[in-house]
Parts: sequence; C-alpha cells; structure tokens
Amino acid sequence: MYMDERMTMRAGASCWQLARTALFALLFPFLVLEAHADVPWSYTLEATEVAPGVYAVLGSTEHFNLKNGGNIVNTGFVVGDTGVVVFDTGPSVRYGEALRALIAKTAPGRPVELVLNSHHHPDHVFGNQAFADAPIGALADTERMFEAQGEAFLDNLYRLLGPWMSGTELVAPNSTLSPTRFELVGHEFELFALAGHSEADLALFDRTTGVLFCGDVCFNARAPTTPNARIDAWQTALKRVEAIGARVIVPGHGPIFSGAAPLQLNAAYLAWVYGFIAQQVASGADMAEVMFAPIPEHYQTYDTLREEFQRSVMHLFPPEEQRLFEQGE
Amino acid sequence: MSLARLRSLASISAPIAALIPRALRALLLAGAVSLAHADASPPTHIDPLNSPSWAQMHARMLNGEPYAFSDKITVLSPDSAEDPANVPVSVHIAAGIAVKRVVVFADLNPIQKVIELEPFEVPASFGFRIKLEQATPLRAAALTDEGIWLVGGRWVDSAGGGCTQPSAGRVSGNWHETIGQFRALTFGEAEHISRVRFRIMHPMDTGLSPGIPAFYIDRITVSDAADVPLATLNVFEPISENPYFTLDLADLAAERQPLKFAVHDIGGNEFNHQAAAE
Repeated sequence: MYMDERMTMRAGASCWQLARTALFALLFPFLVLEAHADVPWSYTLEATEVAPGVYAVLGSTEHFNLKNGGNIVNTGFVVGDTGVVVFDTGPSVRYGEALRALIAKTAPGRPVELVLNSHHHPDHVFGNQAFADAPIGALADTERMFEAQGEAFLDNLYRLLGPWMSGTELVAPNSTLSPTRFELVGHEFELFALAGHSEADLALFDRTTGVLFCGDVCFNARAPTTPNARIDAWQTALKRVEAIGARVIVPGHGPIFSGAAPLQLNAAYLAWVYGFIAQQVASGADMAEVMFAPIPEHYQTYDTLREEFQRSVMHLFPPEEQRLFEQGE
Repeated sequence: MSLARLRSLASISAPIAALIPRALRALLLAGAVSLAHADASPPTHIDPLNSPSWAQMHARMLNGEPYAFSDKITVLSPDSAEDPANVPVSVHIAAGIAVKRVVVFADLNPIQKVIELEPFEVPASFGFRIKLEQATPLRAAALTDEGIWLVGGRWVDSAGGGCTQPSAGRVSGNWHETIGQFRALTFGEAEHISRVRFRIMHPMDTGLSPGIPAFYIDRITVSDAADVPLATLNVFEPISENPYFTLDLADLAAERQPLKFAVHDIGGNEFNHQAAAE
C-alpha cells in the first residue's frame, strides 16, 4: 500500500511527470500493483508438536509488515481427550480463523474449552474474535490494559497490515484469571501471573508434558520489545520462568527451546539496554544519536535488533532524561 | 481491478492490438529521452528520497536557490516514529563546512518547516524533537558560505496524530503553571562547555487542534556572558511540547560563561535564563 502510494505520489513534482506516470499506469496497471502481487493475504499456519498433544504455531521473528500479515508471534494449543486449550490468538480475525481451522484439522471434533490471552499486546489477542464462543481468560491487569490501549493498537495494526486486518474487531477477554492449578481436557495445568514485559504476563505450564507457554516474558533469537516494560519485574519474571524447570519453552517470539540460555540472554540484554540508555542520558547524548549507537556483539544473534533497540530508546530515554533534568530542582 | 483491465487488454480485437506496438514504441522513446535527460544532470540533484513535493520544498524552504543533495549533512531519526508527538531528530554537519544557516523541514507534514539554526560560531550540530502527522521525508539543508544549500535527509514513518492532537498541557489545563520554566545541563571537559542540553516548558500548540490557537516558541537566542551571539534558533509549530534541545558549542571557556538564553514565543512572552558548567 505504501509503496503504491509513494510510486503514484512521486509524480507530483511536475505536470509532465504526472502525465507520464498516469499514462504508464493506464498502459501497465499490473506493474503499479506489482509490489504486492505475491502477497496471498491469507495465513499459512503449521502446528509443531512439541510434546504429545501439545502444539506450537510459530511465526516469523520480523516486525509487522505487509508481507507477513503480522504472523510474527507464537501461539499454541493443547489437545486433550475431551477438548482443546488455546494459548493466544494472533494479530487478526483472519489469523484467529486460520488457527481455529488448524486446531479442527489437528483435533477433529474436539471443542475449544478455554482460550488464554498472555497479555494485551495486539499480535497476541486480535484473533479473539474467532474464539468468541469460548471462554477467553486473562489476568485482571491485562483486561484493564486491553480496555485502555486496544483501540489505539487496532488503528495502528490496520495502518501497518492493511487488508490482513479486514473485519477484525476488538473482542476483549471475558474471564478473569489468577494464578492457580487446574485440570482440563485431561491435562494438569498451572497458571503463572508474571509481569514486566507488560503490566501483566500470563504463562501456562502444562505439568502433564512439561511444556511452558511463556508469552512475551521470553524472546528467543528476536530482540525483546519494551513498550510497556518494567525492568525489575521482568528480570524477576525471567528468574521465575527459569525456576519452573520446563522441559520445553514456547516463547512469545522465536523458536522453541530447552534450557536457560535464551532466558539469560534476555536478562542480559534488558539489563544492558536500560543501563546503556541511562548512561547515555547522563553523558549528554542526544536521543536520536543514541538510536544509532553500536550494539554489543553479544546481542547480534537477535533478529529485528536495531529496530527494537530504537523503539526501546523511545520508551526509556525520555523518562530517564526527565529524571536528570528535574534532579535537584 | 487492474487484473481485469489487463485481461481486457489481452482480449481486444486484432486491429486495435496492432496499434499497441506503435504506442509502446512512442512510450519507450519518451522514456529513453527522459532517462538521457536525467543522466545529463548531476546525480546530486536527483532527490534520493523520491519525495512527491521536493520541487515545492526547494521553492519554499530554499527560495529556489542552488542546492545539492549531500552526505555531508546527516539527519539522524528512527525509521519509524514510535511516538508521533516526540520524534527525535539530530542534525550533524561534516567537519570543515562553514554554514550560514540550517533549515530543517518535513516535506509531507501539515506544517513543513520545523526549525532554523543560524550559527555564529557553533559547530552547527543540534538535536530536538518533533511532531509528525504521517510518513514523510525529513531533511536538513545547510547554506554554505558559497551560497549553495547542501541537503541531507531520510524517510520517517509515522502513525500520525502528532500535529493535530492537543498538547498534554491543554488537556490537563495546567500549562500556564509551568510555562517558561527552564533547565540546562552542560557537558564538556573541565570547565569548558562543548554541548548544552536544555528544556523549556511550553505547550507548543500547532493551531491544528480544533479550538486551540497556535501558541509556540518562535525564537531562542543563545549568547555568551558578554552577549556575543552564539546561535539563533527560529522555532516552528512542529517542535514537540516542553521541548528539549541539544546544541554543540565550540568549547566555550569559563570566562565566556554563563551561557545566556533568550526565549521568545508568538504570544510575546520572553523568558531569560543562564547556564554555566557545573
């Protein structure tokens, strides 16, 4: 959409250019749309069985764009004897529908007993619409943040993803959860109420198989995002996740993993980002300059690193700067 | 729509189809001529950002004067504005280039001109934050002593709403309690100042939000202790609310301190402040 607009708008410089471009578009309309001719506008989702009956649906590690349709997130589901539990619903109603179709194909005839929303960020919950007939559970603070920021997130995703979003409406979680153990569909589950990536981060541990769906508290091979982050709470959450001792962890973004190394890299990166930005503010750096500062080699394994680092500067630099400017006043 | 059009193009009758190669040939010829024309002009005159309104910007911002796109003028800003009301921008002029004036503008913003710097002895590198209403080229043009504008820039994407939202001070209604409050922090070796960062509390209303008239800082003069001017900043509506500025100085020694700041807004308010190395 953007490329098309720019291609057409570029012609505004002179009448001759405008006329030439109009003629070109008239004769070769297919070239004007070529930029997105290969976009299918539908999701191809695959279920990866990470333990018996436990499936992860893995997205790319990119940022939202018109090619990926926002399939940049991991969702998952647990199939038991009597039904299915779903963890996160994706960025759009189309994704939600594709996920529901994938579940029906994987576990024919088994009803969706429960849907969980890990937190309120749009890539995780805007597929809720496709599960509106099931109970959709979330932590209380997630419900509050969904209410507060959902509309703005929805506007922004329509802007970023265009046709991928068509028909998507806000469907809020309808069931308030607290940390607890429960049995459902023949699996024994435990819910963890974490925080730090956002105001409230829900993790689902399937005690039956040892698989942990940990939402965006965990990023693997993809830079963590910080729009609602609180560093101390996040570091605590990462330690708690490590202590669970899950056999397999399905992170919010990036490949599934075992062991603590990705958790420790998350912790180190977050500590570095916060410390580095605070130090740059104190030494008089200008905000835009910091966005282009070198990032240590250690973190170069993260996809989307520069983009997320720049977003983090936007989130973390102003409060730190304000603190410095108001010190001793 | 275009696919349908393509199909109808393919199915038109033979006599008309026979005409198409001739039209194509004419089109290709026109294209070749325009390409040759483009090749003849220096590459520094082809807008690297492909802006739809470069011609207007050239006329309005640079008075139609001679220019060259140049990598000696660096504009730092994120590819995507996470907060459209606070987009950080930093402008750097390569060492050894003497400039009389630097103009910063955003081609596709509802108000294009952002800020002008008239440096007297500063290195002409500075930083600030702006409000962006949509994706736009963001440029800095520096007028050299030879009378040529050197132009640098980049595209910045934005979700919008930066210029047409009311300022937070208007929404909360307390802007008048803090207006004009000022804080400067100085940076440099020993007692010298090589960089000053300062913040002025001001709503910086653009006039584009319904019912709120334009009200913004329009001029900041920075001078030394003896009132020798160091730089003048002409400020426009797109500068963010309660703005922060970064200004690099040519290593100001202790005897030329404190720095003096004279801030003026379009309501006629004047705020005077000083800062010395701490």
